[in-house]
Amino acid sequence: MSSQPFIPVRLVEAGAPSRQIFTPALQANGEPVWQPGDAEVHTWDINNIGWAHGDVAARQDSPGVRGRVYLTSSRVVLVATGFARGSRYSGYDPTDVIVGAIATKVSQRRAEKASANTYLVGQMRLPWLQAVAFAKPDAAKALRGEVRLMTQHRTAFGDLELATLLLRHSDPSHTENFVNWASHFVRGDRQGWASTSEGDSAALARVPVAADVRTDPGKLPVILYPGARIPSADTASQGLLSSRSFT
Amino acid sequence: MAAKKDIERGLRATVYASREQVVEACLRAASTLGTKCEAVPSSAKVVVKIRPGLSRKRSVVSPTIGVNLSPGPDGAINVTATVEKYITTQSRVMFLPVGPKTLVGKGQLVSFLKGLGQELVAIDAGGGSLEYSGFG
Repeated sequence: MSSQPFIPVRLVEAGAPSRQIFTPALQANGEPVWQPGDAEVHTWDINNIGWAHGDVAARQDSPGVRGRVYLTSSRVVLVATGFARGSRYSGYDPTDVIVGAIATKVSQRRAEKASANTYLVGQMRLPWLQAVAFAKPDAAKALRGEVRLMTQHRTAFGDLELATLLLRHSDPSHTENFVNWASHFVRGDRQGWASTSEGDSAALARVPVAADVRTDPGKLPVILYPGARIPSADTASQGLLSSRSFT
Repeated sequence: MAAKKDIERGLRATVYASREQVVEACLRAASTLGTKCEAVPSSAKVVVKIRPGLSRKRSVVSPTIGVNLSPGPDGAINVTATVEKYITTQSRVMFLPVGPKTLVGKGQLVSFLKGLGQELVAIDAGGGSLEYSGFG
């Protein structure tokens, strides 16, 4: 199967069947349906899920969600609730403000009830991961906690374009920890591929620790992972660890 | 018109022109709205974010319009423009709704779609088609 445009974020219902190549399937309790490749799992709290094709300025965010990021030895899975928004009411005098706050809360609860059993999910398989940009704990407030997982997909026209999965850690100090584990899994998986060249293997071995990556002020530090694949059903199970997802 | 109808407004076109020309047409249509509109092109999509408020910095984004491009027949480009994200507002008296929900940024949405339609007709080498939806 040839590659196809990759949209990393979707809405799914818990219990709905999926082959999990592009979109994760969820158990009734909202956790991902685990695969054999998910040998080691690390999780953190997140409060934003987003994605973008091309320039990150075209990003589509869902801020204020309640979610978890699951980093396993073969993929990154984001699962969130609280994405449904009701109407927002406001007023000018104090009574209106109080009534408005209650009405807003009621509307939000109704919207959440209407979207029960539906989750906002995102997935990036590690064989596709080309680079990670992350905010240091002392980054500007607008970026604090942000991690951008980048790959290149083929558009409908057949040319390559950046596809980014965005997440924001609830605790900004966890970004470096997340990136270090991601580097560890990518290196372990990719260095076992028969197709990885000696140059790529050496470059993977030199992937720096997140705390050591320096950049100009206002820019996010970036770590590159050479030898990545383009998102497609064929390449989802490319590696040693990730291939076990489909056995 | 109620927001439910407003968000169905869109555009579907087949244009005999290069992809670059179509993307430039989208950017030109967006530029007619001045600073209230931000268009971010990628190779197969242009995301148009409209900020209808007085202050661009403090205004909410509504609506976000996705202009999707895909290969069409005989080298043509299929263009579909749809509302992807939006905010509504509703008149109330003592918190009782007294009118229909309306789309925030409705005027700018209509201006953009009509402008985009004109730009696409202008670059079409002939044989293309253009259809607005939700304007009935």
